[in-house]
Amino acid sequence: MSEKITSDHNPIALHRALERIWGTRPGWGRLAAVNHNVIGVRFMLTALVFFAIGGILAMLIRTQLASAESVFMDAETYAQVFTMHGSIMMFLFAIPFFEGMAIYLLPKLLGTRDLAFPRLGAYGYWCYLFGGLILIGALIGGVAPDSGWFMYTPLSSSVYAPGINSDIWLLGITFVEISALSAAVEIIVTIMKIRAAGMSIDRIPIFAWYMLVVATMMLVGFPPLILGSILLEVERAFDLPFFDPTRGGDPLLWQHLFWLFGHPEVYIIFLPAAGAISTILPVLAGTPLAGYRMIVAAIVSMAFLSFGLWVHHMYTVGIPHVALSFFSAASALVAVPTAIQTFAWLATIAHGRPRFSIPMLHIFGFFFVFVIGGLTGVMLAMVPFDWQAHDTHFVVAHLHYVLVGGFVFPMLAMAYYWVPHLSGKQPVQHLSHAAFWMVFIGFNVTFFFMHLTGLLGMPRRIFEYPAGFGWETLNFISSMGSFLMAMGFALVALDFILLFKFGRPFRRNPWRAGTLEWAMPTPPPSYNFASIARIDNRADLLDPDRIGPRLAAGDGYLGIPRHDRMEVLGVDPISGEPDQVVELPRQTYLPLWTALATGAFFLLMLFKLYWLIPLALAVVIGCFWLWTVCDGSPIDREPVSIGHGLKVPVHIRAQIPPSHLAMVLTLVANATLYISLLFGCLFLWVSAPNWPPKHVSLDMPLLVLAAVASVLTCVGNRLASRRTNLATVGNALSLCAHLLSASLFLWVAFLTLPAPSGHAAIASLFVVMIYAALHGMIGAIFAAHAIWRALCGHDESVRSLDLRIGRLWHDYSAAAAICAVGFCWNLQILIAGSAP
Amino acid sequence: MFTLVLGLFLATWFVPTFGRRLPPDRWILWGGLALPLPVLIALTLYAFTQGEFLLKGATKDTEDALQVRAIGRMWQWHFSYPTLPGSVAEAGVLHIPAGRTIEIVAESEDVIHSFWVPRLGGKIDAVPGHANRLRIRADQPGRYGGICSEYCGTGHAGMRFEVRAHDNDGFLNAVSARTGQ
Amino acid sequence: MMRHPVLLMVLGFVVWSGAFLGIYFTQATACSLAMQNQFLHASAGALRLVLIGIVLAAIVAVIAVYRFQRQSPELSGETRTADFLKGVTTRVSVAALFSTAFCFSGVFWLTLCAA
Repeated sequence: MSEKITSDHNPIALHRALERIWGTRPGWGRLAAVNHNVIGVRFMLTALVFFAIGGILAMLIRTQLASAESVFMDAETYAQVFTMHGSIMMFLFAIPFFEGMAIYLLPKLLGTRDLAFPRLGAYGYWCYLFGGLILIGALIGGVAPDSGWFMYTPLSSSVYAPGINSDIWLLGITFVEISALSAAVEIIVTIMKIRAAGMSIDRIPIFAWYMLVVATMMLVGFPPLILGSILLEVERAFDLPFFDPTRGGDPLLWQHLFWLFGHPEVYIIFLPAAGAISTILPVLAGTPLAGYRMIVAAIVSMAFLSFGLWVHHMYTVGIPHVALSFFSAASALVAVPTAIQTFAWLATIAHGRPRFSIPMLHIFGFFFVFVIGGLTGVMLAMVPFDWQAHDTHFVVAHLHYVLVGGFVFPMLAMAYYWVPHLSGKQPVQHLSHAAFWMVFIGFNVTFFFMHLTGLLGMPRRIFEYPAGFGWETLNFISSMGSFLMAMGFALVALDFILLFKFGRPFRRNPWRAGTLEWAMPTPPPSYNFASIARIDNRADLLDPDRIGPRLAAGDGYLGIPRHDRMEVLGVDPISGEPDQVVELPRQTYLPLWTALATGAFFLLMLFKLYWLIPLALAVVIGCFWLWTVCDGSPIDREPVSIGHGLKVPVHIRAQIPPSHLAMVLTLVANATLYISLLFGCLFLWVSAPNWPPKHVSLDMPLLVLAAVASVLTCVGNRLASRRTNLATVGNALSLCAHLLSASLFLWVAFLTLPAPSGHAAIASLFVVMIYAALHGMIGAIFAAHAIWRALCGHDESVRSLDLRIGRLWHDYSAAAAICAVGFCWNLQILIAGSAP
Repeated sequence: MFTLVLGLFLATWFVPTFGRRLPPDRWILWGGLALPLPVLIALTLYAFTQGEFLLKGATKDTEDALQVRAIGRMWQWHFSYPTLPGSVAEAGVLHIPAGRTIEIVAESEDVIHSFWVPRLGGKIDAVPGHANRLRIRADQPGRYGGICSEYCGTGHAGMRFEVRAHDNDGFLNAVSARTGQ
Repeated sequence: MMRHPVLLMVLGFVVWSGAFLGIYFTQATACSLAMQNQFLHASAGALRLVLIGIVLAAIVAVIAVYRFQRQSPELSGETRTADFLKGVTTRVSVAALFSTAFCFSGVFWLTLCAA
C-alpha cells in the first residue's frame, strides 16, 4: 500500500486536512450536506419551528375555550386547529426533535466521526421537511386535516370527509414517517457497529442504550401506523372497503392499528428524554449513574411491555373482559421500569453532591410534572375509572402532564446542558430562572385545573360549551395559565438567542463531564475527532480533558487522512474491537433529488394524478440505484492500516458490514408491516359486520406456482454466490423467477378475483397478493443489479456484499409469498366454512 | 406516592447526607420494585374484581333490565324502546324509569359516537356495524345531561341529549303519551 | 444467529410477545366462532382450558429460555463483558417470567367472551 504515512502530529494541519474532506461546501453545496452535525442541527431547528407553530395553535384553542359560547372560531376551523396541534406536536416536533438530537449527539458520545449512513440521514431530513411543508401548506390553505389527530374512521373516510383534508394527513404523515424509519435503522446500526475502539457493549454510554431501545421500538411501532395509513388511503382513493362496515370492513381495525403505534409512541418519546436525564444527572450530581445494568434491563423490558397495552385506549368499544385484563395488567406493569429509573436517579442524587444549575432546575420540573402524570395514568389504566374519564379534559390534562413532563422539561434541561457544546459559548444566566418558573407555573396552572374540568364532565374537542355547568372559571384559569406558559417559552427562546450572541467562550468540558462528546473542540468540527480513541473504561467515566488533546494531535486510530476518504472505525458489537474500516460516501445531492422524487410521488397521490405515479416511482427507484452505483469502486483492496499497528479490512469485504445489518433491520420493519396486515385481515373476519361475503373461489394452482417460483429465486442467488462462473446464470434465474412470481400474483389479483371494492375479504386477498407481487418486482431489481455487476466484471467471490444483501431480500420475499398463499387459502376456507 | 417521590427528590438534593448510607442497589430494589409492585398488583386485582362484579351484576338481572336502543347519527341521538310495544322513538330525550337498570344498546348510522351521561356513570362507543351494551341506573327521578364523547365532526359539541328519569307511572306516560298523538 | 447475545437477552420477552398474540388471537377467534355457531355454553370450558394451556406453556418456555441462557457460552465467560451481559439478561428474563405469569392470570378466572 502506498499511503503517505507522514507522522506530522500537528493538530492544525490535521484539522485543515480533515475539514477539507468532511466539511460541508458553502453556497449551494449546503444542499449536498450529509454531515451529521449539519443534519442534526437542521432537524432540531426545523422541529422547533414546528413547535412554535403548534404552540400558536394551542393558544388559539385556549382563546376559544376561555369563555363559554365563544365566537372566536367556528366548529370547522376549530376542528382543523386541534387536529393540527396534536399532529404537529407528535409527528413534526417530538419525534424529529429527538431524532435530530440523537443524530447530533450519538457519534460524539460513541467517540466516532459520523453515523453509519450519512446519505440516509440527509434523505430522512428532506422527507421530514417536505412532508411537514405539505401539512403546513394545507393549514395555511384552510384545508388542513380535521378529524382529530388519531383520525378515527369512518369520520376520516371519504363518505364523511370528502375533501382533501384527510389525504393530506395520511400522505403527509406517512412521508414524514419515512424519515423516522430511516433514522431508526441508522441509529441502530451506528450504535451496534460504529464506535470508538474498546467500547464493548458494557461500556457504551447509557444514552446509546436508550436510543438503541427507542430505535428498535420505532422499527416495530411505526409500520402498523404506516399500514393503517396505506389501507385508509387505498380505501379513499380506490374504494377498497377496509373500514366500511357496510361492506365487511370495520372502523375498529383502524383503532387497533393506530394505537398499536400510538401507545409505544408515548414511550418512544419518553425514553430519549429519560436517556438524556440519565446522562446529565450523574454529571450534575458529580457521581456515576447508579444501577447501570438495572436501567438497561428496565428499558429493554419496558420496550416489550409498552407494546402490550394499546387496547387501553379502546376500553369503551366493547372488548371481552378477559382480553381487557391482559392490557390492564401490562399497563400496570409498565410503570415498574419507570419506577426503577426514577429510583436509580434518586440514588444517584443521594450519593452525589448535586450542583445547583439551570438543567437541574428543569430536571426538578420533570420529576414534579411526570410523577403526577404517571399517577393519573395509573388511575386511567383502571377500567372502571377510565369508563368515566375517557375522552374528557381529564385525559387531555393527563397526556399533557406525561408528554410535557416526560419530554419538554428534560429537553429543556438537555438544551441548557448541551447548547454550550453546540455554540461553544456558556450562558450568562439572566433570563433562565425567570423563563423556567414561567413555564413551570404556567404549565401547572393550565393543566392541573384541566383535570378538574374533566372530572366535571367536560368532553374534549368541543369548540363551544354552554354556560352554567361550572366550567367557565376553570377554563378561564387554564387559558390564562397557557398564555403565561407561552410567554415562558418565548423567554426561553430569547435566552438562547442571547446565549449565541453574547455567551462567554470556554476552553473545554464546562460541566466536568466524563463522556466523549466533551473531548473535542467546541463548537465541534465536522469530523468530530481528528483521530478515534481507544477507551479503557465505561463511556461516562472517562477523562475528556486528558483524551481530547491527544485525539486532536492524531494520536488515536485513523489519525492520517487517506485518499480523501471519509473513514470511520467499525467494531464488533459485543467486544468493541475494530473489525473493519467503514468508508462513508462523500457529500452528494442524491438524497435531495431522491427526496424530491419521493415528494412528487406523494403530491401526485394527493392530487389524484394516478397515471403519472409509475413515472415518479421509476424516478425514485432510479435515484436509489444511483446511490449504490456511486459506491462501487471496482478495485479490491487489501486490509488497510488504521494505526497502532492494526490492519483491518474495508467494510465491503468485512464479515458483517453496516449495510448488511441495515437490510436485516429494514426487513424486520417490513415483516412487522406484513404481520400487521395479515392479522388485520383476520381481525376483520373475527370482528367486522356483514361477513362472510358471497363465495370466493381462488385459483390455487396459479398461487402455488407463484410461491414455487419465489423459492427458485433463492436457489438462483445461492448458485450465483457459490460458483463465480455461474454468477450471470444464477442471477438470471433469480430475475426470471421473480418476474414470473410477480406476474402470477398480479394475474390472480386483477383477473380472477371479483372486484375488491365489493367486500373487505376480497380487498384483503387483493392487497396481500399485491404485497407479494411488489416484493417480486423489487427482487427482480436486485437480481438485475447483480447481473449488471457480474457483466461489469466485478469479482463477486471476494466482494459478495451486494449478493448477500440481495439474498436477504430473495429469502424474505419467498417467505412472504409462501405466507401470502397460505393466508389466501386459509381465508378461503374460513369464508366457505362460515358461509350460511 | 407523589409527595413521597418529590419529598425524596428534594431531600436527596438539599440534605447532602440523606440516603448516602443506603447503597444504590438497595435504593432501586426498594423504590423501584418493592414499593410499586404490591400497589400495582393490588390495584389491578381490584380493577379485575370490580369489572367482573359489574359484568356479573349485569348478567344476573338481565330479565329485569329495560332495553333501550340509542342510535347516534350526525349530530343527534335517537332513542327507542324495542321491548315496549307502542312506544315511540324520540330524538334528544331519553326517558327512563328511576330505580331500574337500563341496558343501552348503542349503535351508529354514520361515524363513531360515544354515549355518555356523566352523572349516571360509564360510557360506551357507538361504532357503526357494532351494537355495544352499557348498563346505567338512575336511583332518583330527575333530569340528567348527556353528551357525545367521541369527536364526530363539526356538530360534535352540540350533540347533547337529556335523560329524564321518571317514577314508574310517569315513565309509561312519557313513552306512550306520544302514541296517542 | 439466535445465539447473538443481544437477541439472547430479549428471548424471554419474545416468548411473552408470542404468547400475547397467541392468547389474544385464540380467544378472539373462539369467541367469534361461538357467536357465529351458538355453541357458547358447550365449549366455554374447553376454551378456558386451551388458554390456560397456552399460558402454562409460555411460562415453561420462559423458564427454558432462562436455563438456555445460563448454559450459553457467550454469557458464561469470565470476562467483564460476559458478566455484564449475564447480569442484564438474567434481570430481563426474570421480568419476562413475572410479566408472563401476571399479564395472563386473567384467563384463570375472568369472564371469557362477554364485554
